[in-house]
Amino acid sequence: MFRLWAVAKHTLRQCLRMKVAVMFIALLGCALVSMPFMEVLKGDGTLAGQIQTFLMYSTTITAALLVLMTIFLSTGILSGDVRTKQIFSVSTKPVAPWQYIIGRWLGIFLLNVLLTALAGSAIYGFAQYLRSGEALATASGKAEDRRKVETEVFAARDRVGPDEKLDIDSAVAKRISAMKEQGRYQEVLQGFIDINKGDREEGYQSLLRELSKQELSKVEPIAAGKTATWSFSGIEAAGRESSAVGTVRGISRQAKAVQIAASPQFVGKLTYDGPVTVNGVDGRTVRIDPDSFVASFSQEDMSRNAIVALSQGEKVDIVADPTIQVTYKASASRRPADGTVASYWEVQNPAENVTFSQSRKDAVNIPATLTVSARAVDADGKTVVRYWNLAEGANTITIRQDDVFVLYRVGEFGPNLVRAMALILAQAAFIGALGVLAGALVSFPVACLFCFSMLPFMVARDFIIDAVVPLAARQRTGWVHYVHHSIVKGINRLLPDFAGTFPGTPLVDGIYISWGFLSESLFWMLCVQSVVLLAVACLIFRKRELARVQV
Amino acid sequence: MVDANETVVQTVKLTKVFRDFWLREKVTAVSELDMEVYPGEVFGLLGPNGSGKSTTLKMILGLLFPTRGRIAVFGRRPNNVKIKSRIGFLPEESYLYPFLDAHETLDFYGRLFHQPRQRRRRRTEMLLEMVGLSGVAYRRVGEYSKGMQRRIGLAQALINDPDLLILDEPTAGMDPIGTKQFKDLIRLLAERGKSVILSSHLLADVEDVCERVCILYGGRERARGTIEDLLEVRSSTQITTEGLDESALAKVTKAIRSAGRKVLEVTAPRDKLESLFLRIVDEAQAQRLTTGGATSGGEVAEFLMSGSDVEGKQVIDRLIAKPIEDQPAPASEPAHTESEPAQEVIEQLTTPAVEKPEQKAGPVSDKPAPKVDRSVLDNLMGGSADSEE
Repeated sequence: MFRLWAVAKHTLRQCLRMKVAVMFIALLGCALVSMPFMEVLKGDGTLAGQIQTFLMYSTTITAALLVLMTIFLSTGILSGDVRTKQIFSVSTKPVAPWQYIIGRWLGIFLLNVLLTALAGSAIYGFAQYLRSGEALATASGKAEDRRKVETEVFAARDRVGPDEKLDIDSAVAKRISAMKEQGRYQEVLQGFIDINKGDREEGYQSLLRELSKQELSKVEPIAAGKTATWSFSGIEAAGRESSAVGTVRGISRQAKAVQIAASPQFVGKLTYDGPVTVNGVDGRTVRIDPDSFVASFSQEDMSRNAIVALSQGEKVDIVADPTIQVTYKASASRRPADGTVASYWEVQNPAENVTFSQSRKDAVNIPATLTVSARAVDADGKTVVRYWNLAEGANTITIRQDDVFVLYRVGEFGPNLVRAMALILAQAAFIGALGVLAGALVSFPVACLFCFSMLPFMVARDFIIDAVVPLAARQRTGWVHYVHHSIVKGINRLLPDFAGTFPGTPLVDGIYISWGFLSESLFWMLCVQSVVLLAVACLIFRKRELARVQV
Repeated sequence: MVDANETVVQTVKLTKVFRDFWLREKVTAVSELDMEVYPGEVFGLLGPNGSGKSTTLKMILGLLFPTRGRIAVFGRRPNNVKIKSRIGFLPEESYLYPFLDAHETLDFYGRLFHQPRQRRRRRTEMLLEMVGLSGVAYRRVGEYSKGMQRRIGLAQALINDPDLLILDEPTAGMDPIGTKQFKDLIRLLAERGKSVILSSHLLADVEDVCERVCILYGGRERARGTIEDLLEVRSSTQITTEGLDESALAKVTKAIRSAGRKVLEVTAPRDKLESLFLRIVDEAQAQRLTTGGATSGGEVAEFLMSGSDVEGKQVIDRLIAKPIEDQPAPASEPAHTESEPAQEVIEQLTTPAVEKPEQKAGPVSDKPAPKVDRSVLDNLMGGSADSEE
């Protein structure tokens, strides 16, 4: 381990002193520092949009620069040692090939750890800066924007779909089975083959598409004035109350309401008509401003000493209930004139009959979110969501089951960002192993070319496999099929899915990156795929003549 | 430590054939080479360009694999990691990391030998002092001149106090000071029982330090043996004496002729250019003139003399003193003779004829190099031994 560590430390020092590493560090620093102030990165003009755009660009640029830098360093260092014969001085010392290879990889990994930590800290710092009131003054200061920032961006939320989820693939498979049982399948298939000019594979794909379309159309469209109901279970939103200290700004005994000033971060977690606790007394939020809110109390609660004795300027303990969000995407049978459709939503606690409702007007075909108190979820984690179609002009609305979710907070933004950066680090570590393997085998340009040619298989793996499948499927036997099968299998096993493990999207949407997902990704990328590549690199390095012909 | 009975390096029918991309035989770099190197021996590998010297060294180091034949280094295969802790290697160019300074370079290589921090630090300081780079220890190696790079290269080869030191063109690019120190060091290491394999074009260097040499041509061994055996000229006798005036010289000539021998050449010996150069540099250093480059090195690193960092000064003194005690005085060293000279001639020669000349200042070689017939080496090497590889 001592020698391995010596090589790793040496590699880290080498990386830091190489101009390529310095240039990448400078680029990364410039990008992260300038991004929050770039006009083009303001998103949709809201603060939430600006922060989300910043998070997406910063994580993407960090991942891209780390991957590029790792390719150049890992391929360059190993092949460079052989090219410049510095390997003579190292391999004639008591260092085993595996110690050299792993040490080199470890050094690059340590550099990536350092850079990921720096980038993560910078992203966190700038995101917090944007979240602060100072940044808010230049963006939309609306309470809704603040609520979105606090509950949808600076959050780590899990999500559940409706209990009765339509499985299109299974439904299509059932339809095909039924046709086979009825002896109609070949006849139907032949019809589609004929439509596709005798191309059997295209005919089969057309049949699948048609059946999927039919199954999807079975999702009940919601006619004007009609309702749709979805049940959700497994929601674990309890126990995530936010507490703070507020200042009484005004009190109206007649209106049974108290205006309390609080930090924007706290106010952003309140929901309109949602519960709020003031000095231990339950109230209801009836107005939300960027830096204050008005809590309304029942006659009985208003007369309690904890409320009635309040005076202006007095400090009060305030607690906001946890919230849940319902996200959905509605499509209309006819496009409305203003592009929006009106609706009425109810989110109901099925056990206690507590209901929160909202009237909304949302753009069609764009995901929308409504936020309500988590009191809408019963003790068993169940809730019921009901939708009324109030669209004008008898417009029929369709909300697919795949497009409606309930989200609930399970963690905070900071730890989520740490897990996101860990995923980026794992991707860079795998690329490091790939580069070390290539560098141990061939010269720098060829090794670089090899790594870059592998990148598309990792970044757009699903797309490439989907593009190749029809080609091979035409010839189910023979070498094309065999080669295709081997390539697809090899890619799936050896190369990680960078798109699937890229943490930018969940981070931007405030989706919880679970420890389970992180552990699984790290296990495959670091403990399996990287180890396989490094083992091959060690084997090659051991069997390779490090000197060249000079006669 | 080296076992006196252990063969340090042994090659049996060692052959290296280089092939092209299509595995067609391109060139035979080394062919059926049998070679042994023993403990305490300085072994020279000589040969013109492309004779297979470097290829042989690289196979001994495990950087190239033999096509046929066998190599054993300390009884094991060359790529065995354990034996590498007993080897020091100075390649034909110092392939060091240019972004490290001398201090960091030695520290890094010391780490690869798993040396504790204290020992690493101590050895680094001593080696830098020894190779004369203490003043530039924190300059990056990439900024060093070629000679300075050779010095730091030598230091890295010695960081582990190796039992086998493999040197490929070690004095190439070194100034005469460094060359002399280097040769002194090799002699010292050999006295301590270390083995040295030296590949060089500089025949004078090889001749000065090697006990045995192997001369290669076209990848095949052409000659092998001790320097003495290979270079001995039995047909003439050389006598070195204090300066003689004309009359004394005439007497000597007469005495030789009377013994039935011809006087082939009578010359006044000249000082060596190396000696003159070293004397001038010594004088400059005595006057403390500044230089941005390497200075002449200091004492040989303590651990290289004693074999242990903790041994006391007495041991060091003894080791330093030993070669002088063991050597006969230069003036009394007999020259090689074909037959016993007549007693009369000796008496005449030992009679002081003139005043003793003034002792020359500056460093001189402990053992005057015997006048050698350089043509023997040139003939064996195909007459192009001075060209660089």
